[in-house]
Amino acid sequence: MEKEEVVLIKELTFFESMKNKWLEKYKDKYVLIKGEELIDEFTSLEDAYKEGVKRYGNQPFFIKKVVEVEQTEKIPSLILGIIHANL
Amino acid sequence: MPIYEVQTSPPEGLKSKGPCCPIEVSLPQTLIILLSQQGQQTPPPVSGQALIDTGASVSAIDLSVISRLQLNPIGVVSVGTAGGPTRRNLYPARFILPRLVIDLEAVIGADLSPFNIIALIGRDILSRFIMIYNGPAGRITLAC
Repeated sequence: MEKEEVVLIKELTFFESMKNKWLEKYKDKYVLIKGEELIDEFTSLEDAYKEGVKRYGNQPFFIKKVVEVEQTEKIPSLILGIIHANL
Repeated sequence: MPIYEVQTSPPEGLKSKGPCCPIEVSLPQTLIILLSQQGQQTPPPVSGQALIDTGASVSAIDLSVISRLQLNPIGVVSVGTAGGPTRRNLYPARFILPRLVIDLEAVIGADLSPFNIIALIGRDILSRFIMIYNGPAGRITLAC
């Protein structure tokens, strides 16, 4: 997979620094973050996104579900480059 | 009830090409409405082919689509790679298939250009549907 630059480093670092504290208050909720500020928490990703668009339009903002262990997404076909492989 | 069918011709093409379907990728509706209210122009949808990938836990769009739609990231996710987990940006997008429109708050960006597709339809989308892979007939059916 071609690497792209991860741009929300400040928000990600802030989230990770606050995660243990937020697990007590916001477990399984979605937090909306801009810079190093928690804007609000939401019960769905869709609601968090709508609020982010309302506040910031088409600018980067950060949404993350507050969970103890983050799920790792998997796309084996891209990792292995086997899309359209034929025998 | 079937809501979307893709017939590959000849049927053997389904095996060699995989379950591909025409797709348009656009800004999500929430963003289109906001930009319209602000009197701003929205980039036109990007057309191409999508591959249905039951092995992918999350859907993806090509990096060129992100650039053309001027999408900005709204999150970061951990993606497994051969070298271990790595961070990737998450983007909002709208997938438009014939008779089917799906707004997604979170798809990853990936270089899909070597495969001549602009999107991967992963299990985040498929979890909403019944999918029938009819190999002998060369047909894919999505139903609710």
